[in-house]
Formats: sequence, C-alpha cells, structure tokens
Amino acid sequence: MNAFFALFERKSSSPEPGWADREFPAIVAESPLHLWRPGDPIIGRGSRLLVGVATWSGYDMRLLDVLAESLRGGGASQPLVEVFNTAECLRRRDFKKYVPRNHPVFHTPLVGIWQDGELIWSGEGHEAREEVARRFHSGSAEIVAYVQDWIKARRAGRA
Amino acid sequence: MSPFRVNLGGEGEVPGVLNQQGRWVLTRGWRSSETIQTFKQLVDAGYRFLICDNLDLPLPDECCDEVLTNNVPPFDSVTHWGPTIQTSEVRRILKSGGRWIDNGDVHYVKP
Repeated sequence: MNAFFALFERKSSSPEPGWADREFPAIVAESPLHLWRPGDPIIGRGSRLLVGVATWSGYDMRLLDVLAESLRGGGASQPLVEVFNTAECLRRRDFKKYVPRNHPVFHTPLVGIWQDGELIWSGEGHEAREEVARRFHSGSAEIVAYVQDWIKARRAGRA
Repeated sequence: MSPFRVNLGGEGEVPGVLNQQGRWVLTRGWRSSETIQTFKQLVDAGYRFLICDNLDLPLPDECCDEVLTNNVPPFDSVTHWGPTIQTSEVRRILKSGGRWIDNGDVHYVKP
C-alpha cells in the first residue's frame, strides 16, 4: 500500500494548488493513522506519536506509508500514531499548537513523542524521520532512497 | 563552458550546482534535511550557495541552463517559510531552451 506516496505522485503530475491538501484527510481516514487537530484530546496512557507532514514532500508521504504498513501488520504494543498537515500552520507559532517546543521549524516532518501524556521528545527533518522510522523497523536512509529512486526513474523516463 | 545550473531548493543540496536557500540556513541549529550537515560543513565540502528569498532572485535574465527543484511547496504560493518558488522568476533566469526539472521530470522548457 502506498496511498500517501501516490498522493505525492499525483500532485507532481497535476499540481493543481491545494488539491493534495484537500485529499489528505480522506487518505488518513482510510489508514491506521489518525488525523489530530488542536483541541483534540491527548491520550494519557501509553505512547503517542504526532507526525506533521507536507503533502508536497515525497519523503514525508513515504514515511506515512511505512508507518501505515507497519501498523496494519498489527501487534498489541503499537503506539498511537496521529498526523497533521503542516499546511495548516500558516505562521511559525502555529506549530506550537501541535508540538510545543521552542525551536523554529526548518523542515518536515515535525514530530512529537508523548509517553503517558507527557511530551518526551521532539524533532524535525532527517532526525525526526529517523526517530519515527526506526520505531517501525525502517530508517530515514531507506525512505530517502525510495524517493531518490522514484526521481531517478522519472529522469530516466525522459532521457 | 559547463552549463549553469541552479537548485531552487527542496530536500537536500546538489553538488556542482548553485544551491539557493533562504536566510534560515544561517540560523543556529539549521541542518540539511537530507544529510543533517550544518551550513558550514556543506560549504567546506564544496557546495555553493545563493542565499536569498524566492521573490527576486539576484541572478541576471536568461543566465541559467537548468533549474532544479524537488519536493518543494506549491509554486507561487506562501507557506510559513515565506513565498514559495515563483514561476515568473524561473522563466526569467532560464536561457532560451533552458529546462526546469521538477522531481526529475521536465516541468518547463523556455521557448
């Protein structure tokens, strides 16, 4: 299953402004991931990952496919994985509504990890991708390679 | 003369081309999203940078053989980082016959 990366692919072929962002909630709803919005409850027990992604980032979309596939594989000790679209953050301070941290956001994904209701880790970009992917038996390098291979295939297709 | 190529951003920097980035690369804590190198490490490794925003690229008209973009926000819009890549600027800096390659595919060829 690669519903999230397919969204990125379709957006790349037909870049109608805002299209992928409008489609994103429906794709999340069909996956084991959950869309989270400011004001929604934060679970008080167990592990919770909140992953902020950009639909224009193939790296972010591939990460969500990796997470969804792993969660579908089951296992009782899987953490709750919630997601949000960084397009909802129009100003820098909007990110704090999702992941309360004092660092500026330079890259996606933006990730927060909660344990028993307490934020215990946050990060962005490569570091965050690695932290999340590692918990699901993957890694940032695998995700980068997947997207790079896709770009190379497109380049080869036009050669 | 080798072709003049500009990378207007996205994930990672490209060796051997001019990499345009916003001023945030000079902010303490910034690292490349792909290699997690600092700006200094990238410069020391030979990467060349042009630091400016997207609205008014400090490059002459029709100077560029190829523009590269990958995994970037929608063109001609605004995100919390500021204005995104401007198609008018890409068209201005490309030479006639120059190409804009987005995510590995030809997005535009200047007539």
